[in-house]
Amino acid sequence: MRQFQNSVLDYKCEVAGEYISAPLEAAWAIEAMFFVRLEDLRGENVRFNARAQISVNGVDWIDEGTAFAPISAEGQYVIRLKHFGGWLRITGRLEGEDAHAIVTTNLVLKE
Amino acid sequence: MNYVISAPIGLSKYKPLPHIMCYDDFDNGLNGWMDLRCNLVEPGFTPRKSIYKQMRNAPVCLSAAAFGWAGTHGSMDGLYSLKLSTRPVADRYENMPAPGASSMAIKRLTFQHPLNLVQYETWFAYTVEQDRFGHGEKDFRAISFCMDIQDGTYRYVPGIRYVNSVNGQLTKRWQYSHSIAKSDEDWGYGSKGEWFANGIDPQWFGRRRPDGSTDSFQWLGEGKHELCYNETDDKINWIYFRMTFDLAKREYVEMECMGKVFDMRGLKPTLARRYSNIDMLINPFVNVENDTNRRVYLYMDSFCLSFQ
Repeated sequence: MRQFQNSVLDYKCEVAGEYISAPLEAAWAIEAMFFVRLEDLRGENVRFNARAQISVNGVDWIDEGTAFAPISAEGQYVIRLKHFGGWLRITGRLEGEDAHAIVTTNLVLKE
Repeated sequence: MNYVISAPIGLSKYKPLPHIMCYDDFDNGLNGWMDLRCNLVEPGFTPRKSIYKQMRNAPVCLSAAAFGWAGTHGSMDGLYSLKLSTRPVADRYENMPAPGASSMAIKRLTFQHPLNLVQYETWFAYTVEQDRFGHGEKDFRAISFCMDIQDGTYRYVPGIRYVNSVNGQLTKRWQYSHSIAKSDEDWGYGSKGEWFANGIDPQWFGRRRPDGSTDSFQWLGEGKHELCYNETDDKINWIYFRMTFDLAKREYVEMECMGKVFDMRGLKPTLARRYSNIDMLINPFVNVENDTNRRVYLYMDSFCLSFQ
């Protein structure tokens, strides 16, 4: 059977400005999906921009090239990745005046 | 019925009791080990209000133990181990652990009557995130190997804690789970009207003091026991750990780690009231803590739980 892992990187994390998810080692996986759930979105002209990052050591990070389309409403969103090496995380920023959101991020891995 | 059991070769590095309930080689997946999460029993899938915030515990994963300079370590007899990681936040030792300053993995089981002894064994390794120059050993605070047990009358958490560092001072001493807190409220840092019970979740609760002593874990043995921590943070060495516990007498039997054996007969965990719905529960778990604003890692190559 294939290996599978659904990891909650951050659960109901209060975000205002920069957001960096917990990193995870994912070397065994062939495919990955980042699910982001935004709740309690408040502020003026709010927009959440986030993108996937990869790393060779879990310390230094570079953009993988996949990004969420700009998010401006509560709900759940997803991006899909392949060919990512050993480490994964997402990073982003909640833009807007008095911007606030509660963010839950899952990383779903499969062999 | 006559039968022959063919044991995996990896099991030969353990000393299990006759009835092996679990042999978890993390090359074969998570084997039921998972993050400990809050009970989300309040509206909006939120936890009860509590003085201790466990929502920020970082997730566990299957790790190839890869480092920037050393490359891939792998595990003892394969590639993957179970890895726990804190977040890069910490508070002083005498304060309640900061949100995210510990990480915990747990496996949820029940046991059967009649049983006398249970034994928790693992091969583990530990290090800090290699995010800065220098030797990071003092940034790694503690490891706790525990079992959450309810036997139909009491709930109790026998456990062993290795206190590596206290506010940057290398301490390197063992402790065993036994509460000296005077009440549930005292156990929970003085917080009133909470859900916790004296003796349960010793990895978080019980007041701590700058000399490394705590209300939840008491010193075991005299002096330091230096575990193998390599000269750089990207070299890990696998270490054997064993804790044997007498379920019938509700007392410790023995603890062994890296060549040292402690006779623990006569020492007991703290008995708490029985909780509803969880009789016969036995949840082995492991918890790791950092001592400064830095990620620390605990790796488990494999795990064995056995009974007699």
